[in-house]
Amino acid sequence: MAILGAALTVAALLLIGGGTARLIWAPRGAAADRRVGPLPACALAQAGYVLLGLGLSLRFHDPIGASGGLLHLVTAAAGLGLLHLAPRERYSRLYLLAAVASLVGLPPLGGFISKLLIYRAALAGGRLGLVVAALAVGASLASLPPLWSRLDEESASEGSRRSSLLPALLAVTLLALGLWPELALGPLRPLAAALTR
Amino acid sequence: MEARGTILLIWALAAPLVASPLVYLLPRYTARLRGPQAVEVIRAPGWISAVVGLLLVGVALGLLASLHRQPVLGADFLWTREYFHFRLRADFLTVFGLLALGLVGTGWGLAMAGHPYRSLPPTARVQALWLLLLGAAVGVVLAGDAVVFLFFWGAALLPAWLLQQGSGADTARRFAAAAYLGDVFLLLGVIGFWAAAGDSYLPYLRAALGAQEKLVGLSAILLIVGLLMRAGSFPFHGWLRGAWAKGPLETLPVALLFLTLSAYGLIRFVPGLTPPDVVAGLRWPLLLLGAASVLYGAFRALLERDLSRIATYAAVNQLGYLALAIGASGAVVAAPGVAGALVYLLVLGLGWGAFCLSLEAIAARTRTRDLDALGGLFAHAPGLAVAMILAVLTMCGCPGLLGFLGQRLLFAGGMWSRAWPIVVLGIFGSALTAAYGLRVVARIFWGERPRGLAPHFDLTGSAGPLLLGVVSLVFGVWSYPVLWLASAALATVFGMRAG
Repeated sequence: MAILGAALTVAALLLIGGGTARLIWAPRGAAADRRVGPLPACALAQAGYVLLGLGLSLRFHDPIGASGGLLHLVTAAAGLGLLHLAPRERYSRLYLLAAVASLVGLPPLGGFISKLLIYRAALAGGRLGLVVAALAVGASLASLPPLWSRLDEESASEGSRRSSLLPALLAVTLLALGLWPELALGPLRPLAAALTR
Repeated sequence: MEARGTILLIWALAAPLVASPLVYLLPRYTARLRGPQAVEVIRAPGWISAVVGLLLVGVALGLLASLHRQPVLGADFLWTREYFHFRLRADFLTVFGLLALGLVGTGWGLAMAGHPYRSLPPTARVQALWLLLLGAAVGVVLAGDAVVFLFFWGAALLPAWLLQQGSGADTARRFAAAAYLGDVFLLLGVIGFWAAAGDSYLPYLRAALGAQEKLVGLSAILLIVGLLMRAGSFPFHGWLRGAWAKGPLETLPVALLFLTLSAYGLIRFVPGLTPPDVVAGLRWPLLLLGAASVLYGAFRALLERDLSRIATYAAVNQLGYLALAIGASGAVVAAPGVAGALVYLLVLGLGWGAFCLSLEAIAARTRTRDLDALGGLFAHAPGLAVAMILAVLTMCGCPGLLGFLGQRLLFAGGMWSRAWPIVVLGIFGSALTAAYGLRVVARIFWGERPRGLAPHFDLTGSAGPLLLGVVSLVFGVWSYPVLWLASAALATVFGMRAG
């Protein structure tokens, strides 16, 4: 289990690094990039954080990492969904702000708590864990400028806008999970414990 | 835990957060009855903000009564069942923080109630965001756990960024990048403390941080860099200058609150939690950074002609004194340095707050930020002139004002640290502060009034800065309450004797 945990942690760091690098050095202006935006690269990095939580949990036999990883699965899904839907919405700037803030781990949104749980799990690993946490924090920092520029580009672009319920629900979910994470952590806890066992 | 204390803590946190949507919606409702351009409708958001500020001052005084019986008050709420607790905590340092925020909030609210806005939407938007920012700031001050501190610290970034949007997308992006970078340093520092102590509960951190000196030292450096970046201190002041040069009105509350919050964070984490040996190791870098900040800020303010830039460099100058005080707290006898830092927490809001609110009031009414285009305004705005003189005298540490007490204590701390050259540089910086401040006052209020310059000032426009200036004067003349509070904080929070 410990070896699997260590392997998962290394794979997670590679995913986070790869996703963040792709976010930063995306070929801007290329047709494919314009069509899909930063979503694939961002999803890759977020999947890395989920795996990191699970890997750390298996490595140190502590369910906190798995809880953080599973919570991050929920918050990253909501954040990525919002990032995808927001540009066509009436309150696009607000939605994009919520999505970007949650994905990079800013409070008071859900991504802050899930990432913090993962960093807390890393601290169990002593100095090596501290290095893992610092790398993960550094990747979060590096992903802000490209996502932020996306926010500016999308909010500046013109076109017909609509008001739909789904993005509003996603934004409220992100805020609710940030203010009261027990909403999702309660049901996820048995699953995290089972995974660690 | 005393029930009254818990109620006061929740009250302080909830008041600005509840008032924010009210400020946005209530005047819109009254605008339907009276019209969107009625003066009372336009001024309502400012008045509500001022009331919230006064409420925070009231809560701080109420906490004092409870702290007299029990030196630490706390409230613990379930956040995530076994991992994090939402811990709020109040001690005598919290009272200093709440008083500073409350006074700054009242001054800002009054200043905005008197601001010559012509319609409701901008004032309601700015005040609603300001109150969200104030709510996050109160959360930072009340945080009893490093995670709760980080939560509110980071949460302040979103309303601040929305306020910065008024200065243009470029400025807002630069601000967000600088503030977020600072937050990452802060996060790494807190994680380091957390790893060294094994817990994030602040009283536990203080007790457990002695063991791993290297990790704690590195974390303390990261924390200090993060806090100074958010405040816009030298040499991280680029974003502040950029933001102010384009639209000070929207960025003023950001700068005002960030300065107060960073000062609070520095005091809470550096002499408050870091072991004395580590603080002693950081003494010289902090003293040098402080002296450089005081001198650089004062020199640049002396050379500038633009009111926004003068206010920005005045902030850099004033934050330098705080760094000096924190550096002086690394001495063998650290009490004067810590007491100086505590007093400076109030001086920053009262001195610099009154100074920049006065400049903003003048710029908004004369529609110019060029110092050369101003003059002879004393007859038009005597109240504002008095406020600005009090602000300048507070900033330069003139006897009779609260700044004098702060500077006397921090220079005493510097002498205990055997840092004579730094003390001399600090005193020289105070002379330069007086020079740039009085130059601005003389240029604006005396001399010949340029042709065509006939602004209308009313008493409400001067009330905010005047209030801050008068409070500084009262506590400068009668400094016993501030010294008593500082002594109580030294004994109960920092484990020191005032002497």
